[in-house]
Amino acid sequence: MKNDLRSLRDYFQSLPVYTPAFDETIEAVVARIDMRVVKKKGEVISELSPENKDFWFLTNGFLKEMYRNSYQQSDALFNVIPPRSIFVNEDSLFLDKHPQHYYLAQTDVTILRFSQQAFEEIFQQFPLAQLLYVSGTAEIQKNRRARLTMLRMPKTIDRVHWVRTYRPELFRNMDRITLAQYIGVSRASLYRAFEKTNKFQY
Amino acid sequence: MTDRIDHDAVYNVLFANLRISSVEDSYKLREFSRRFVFKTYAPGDELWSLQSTEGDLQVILTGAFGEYLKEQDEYHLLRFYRKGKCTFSEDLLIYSQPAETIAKCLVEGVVASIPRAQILHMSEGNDFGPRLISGLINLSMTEYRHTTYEMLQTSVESRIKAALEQFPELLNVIPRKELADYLGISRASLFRTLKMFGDEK
Repeated sequence: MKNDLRSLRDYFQSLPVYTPAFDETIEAVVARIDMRVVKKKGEVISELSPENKDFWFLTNGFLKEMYRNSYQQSDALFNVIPPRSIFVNEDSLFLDKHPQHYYLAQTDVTILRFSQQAFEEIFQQFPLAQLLYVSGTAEIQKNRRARLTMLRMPKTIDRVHWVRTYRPELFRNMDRITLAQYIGVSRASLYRAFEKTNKFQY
Repeated sequence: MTDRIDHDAVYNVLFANLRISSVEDSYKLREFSRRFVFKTYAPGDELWSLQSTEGDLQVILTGAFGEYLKEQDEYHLLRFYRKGKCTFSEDLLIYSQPAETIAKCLVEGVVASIPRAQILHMSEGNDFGPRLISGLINLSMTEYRHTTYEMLQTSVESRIKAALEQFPELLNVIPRKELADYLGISRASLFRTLKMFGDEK
């Protein structure tokens, strides 16, 4: 648990907005972590399945964020979440809706819970918590924007190259099926692209 | 009279897009929406540019607009905004950073806007401002999520269908070359698929 909390502190201190003035707020957040969950590879993070509005921090391992692809009538990968990331059930937290996404452990994972109630209370007591929240979401937004530009690259191999260059940690931990879903191409297209360029993932 | 109606329209868009639950916030939102000013934009006019220094919160009352990301001297269409949508540069308005995108008018329209400074001024001494900002962040995250759904479709047909679901007027307002770039497909694939859709009808 000690290492997990250190990992959470490190995350906050890595945000662009961080200065030592935030330390008191960060300690207040760390002190309110009230649950640690360990899941084995392949398990669904059931704690987020109901209409949960808490904030979750992935300390180690990788998570797959899955959604129902209505065009293919199947569950598909939406995103891969790397260690030292905050994630939430966006449908419930932002839209008060039943969750449309669920999280699956791609490897063994450890996650920490910071409850929404604790967030509200700390928000009242430490106004700087708002800036931490904004800075954290800014990073998520930047990642989403960058990934969108990758998803618009017309050549499959350019998308692969983007993942290898800008998301090396994810690239190293993805099998080909996951990689194909992450870059929005079919498995056949991915294999064709590798064959064409004589480049292989591993 | 016209102004009152327009301010009502601003309120309605904000109310629909931001999750306002309390009567008190709803009252504040109505007061907030009265501070917006209106401007008509012609195709090509910019809502914000890379040189903009301060962000506005904008509400699209009519027309259509596109947001572009600049990469290696080329602009790529990132998102669309149409009637009933809020638009803003997240970099400028929320994160106080230089804009990495530009937004320009695609179809003539009227936009109501309020500068960031005025939002901050209105927020002094109350928690409406932070709640508004949180609402805008949530809105922006959700919009990005929807655009990502479009782009995760592996077949050209599904990509086009998903994009049309988000923005039904797409085919009428975006030149085909730009649309192909937006969808991450070749122009030939776009024309082939659109022809197939036409034949199906």
